[in-house]
Amino acid sequence: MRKSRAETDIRRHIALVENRRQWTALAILMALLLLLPHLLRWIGAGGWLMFTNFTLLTVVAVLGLNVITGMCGLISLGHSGFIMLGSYGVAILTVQLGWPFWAALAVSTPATAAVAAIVALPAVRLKGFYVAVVTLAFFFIAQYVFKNLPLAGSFHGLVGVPPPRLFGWKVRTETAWYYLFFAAAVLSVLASANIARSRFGRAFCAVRDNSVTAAGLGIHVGLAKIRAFFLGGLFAGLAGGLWAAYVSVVRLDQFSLWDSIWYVGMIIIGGGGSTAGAVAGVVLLRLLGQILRTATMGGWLPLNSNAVAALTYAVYGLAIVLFAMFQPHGLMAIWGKLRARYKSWPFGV
Amino acid sequence: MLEVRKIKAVYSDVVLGVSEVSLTVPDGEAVALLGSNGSGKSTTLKSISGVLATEDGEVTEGEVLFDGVRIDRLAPEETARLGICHVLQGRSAFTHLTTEENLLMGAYLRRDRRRVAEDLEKVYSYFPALKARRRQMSGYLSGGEQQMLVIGRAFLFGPRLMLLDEPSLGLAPMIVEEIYRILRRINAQEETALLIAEQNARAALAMASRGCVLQNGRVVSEGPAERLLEEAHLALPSKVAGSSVQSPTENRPSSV
Repeated sequence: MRKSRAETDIRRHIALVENRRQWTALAILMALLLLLPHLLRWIGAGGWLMFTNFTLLTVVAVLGLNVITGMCGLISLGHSGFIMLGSYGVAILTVQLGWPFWAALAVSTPATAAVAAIVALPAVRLKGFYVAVVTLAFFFIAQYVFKNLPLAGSFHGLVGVPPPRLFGWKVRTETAWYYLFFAAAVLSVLASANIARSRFGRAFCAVRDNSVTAAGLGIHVGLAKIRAFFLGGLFAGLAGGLWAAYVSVVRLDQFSLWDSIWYVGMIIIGGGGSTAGAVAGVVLLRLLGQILRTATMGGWLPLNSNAVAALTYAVYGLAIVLFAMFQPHGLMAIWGKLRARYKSWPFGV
Repeated sequence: MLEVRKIKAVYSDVVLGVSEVSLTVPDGEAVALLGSNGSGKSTTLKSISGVLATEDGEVTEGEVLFDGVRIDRLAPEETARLGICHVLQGRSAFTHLTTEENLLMGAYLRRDRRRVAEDLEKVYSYFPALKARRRQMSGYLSGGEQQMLVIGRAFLFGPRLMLLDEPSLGLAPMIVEEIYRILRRINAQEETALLIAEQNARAALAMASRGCVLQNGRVVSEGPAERLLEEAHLALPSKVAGSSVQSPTENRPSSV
């Protein structure tokens, strides 16, 4: 039965996990990640939990940017602004209006996505550099609005975002936060991988690779761009909302243009468009920063905190530039080459 | 089915693409659109599919009718919904998608998953080379394979009218033949109407029933393929028969 085989072939083609070996590897990875807080404590590095928690939040946010920039090819320098919206949304609803955290998150996340879709409207007719400028403008407008909005606490921001309650108990300890963020990250990874293999996701890539041909195949290019921003905004809104609850304070200086730039850098380092690549990019760049920080705090580097901040930026920038120059398709391309070499061994180059 | 009536197409309000081009493509027929570089072949196709607008061009005079409905003001995604698939010049594969993902993009508007799966197998039977590379990024395909890919993708689109812009561009004669063999099959078996813009007049006229010759944005000759083929050899050697590819069945000396 050739026909039925064709259909199973399509399904296998888009399956997320293809064979048993991949299932095993995935199971081991998940088990390790689930045990990570305890492992960290066990080796006496419990202080790293805060770092892993922020990393997980960054993963959620950057997966959103990956839809916009990686898949659809629209460079957004406003991602930090979208996260800011998600954070302020939750903070305003909980602190000012007394909503419970989950209700606030459920409203603020789609609201962030809606704003992202509106930001995408002028971007529909623009390309490359100009999209970046539009998103940059959005970031500064958002910053200005929150700075002057009494409801958002103006310059001082909002303090006292309540931690979420899960099944009756409050999320308090770093370990509890870890599991909450881990769940959010896993959910985001699944969502991102599913977007990539869906009709919409392929349409994003088609628009990025060749928008005229994409239109010729019936894809509404403008709508695809708006959709990409909307989806990216969902991730950013979720990350921002959780962020607000985690640090319980929302202030303007938590969301800088630098962050937006590092997020784009993480996508470049990871390899644009790939879910795994985006995660790898986040982990690599954040690890780099954390190692520098630890090294100075441990007194291994004779530098004061200002010098470390500058050094971190320099190292980040250098990593991004080196990747863009020598490995423009990022970590995923390196991984692909290694795999191909392993598979064809001892033949091949 | 398709009727182009004396269209004039202008880019950026100032650059004239074509003036007074008229042609018709009846249901299920293959029509060749011939002419040298810059004669207006691509512009004519773009006026039909609506791609013209994405290049800051517009049809300022005349009209394009598809089943009697005016389509010259429609966006490309709208003409696509009517069943017109434009295979652009050059290799317009989505280089970061795999071969199979590329093909499936052709079926973007289709909801009949089962038929799509069948058609996918059909494409693989037309172009076995693609099946071997189904999981590879299409950017790694050879030029000929990429051309097969975009034609296969257009086939999966399931169009009523396929607009092909120089499917022979930059390909080895053997590959050109293979591609035309498949195009003939698509035309005959699926009853898809084809409008093929080509410099390679012989290849296109060998399969088309009618032809239309453009020069400087105007139609200079039109008629049944056989007659144009004759003219190509006798009267207009430099204009139409500018192709270097000879089909192996005929061994005539070049007439220039």
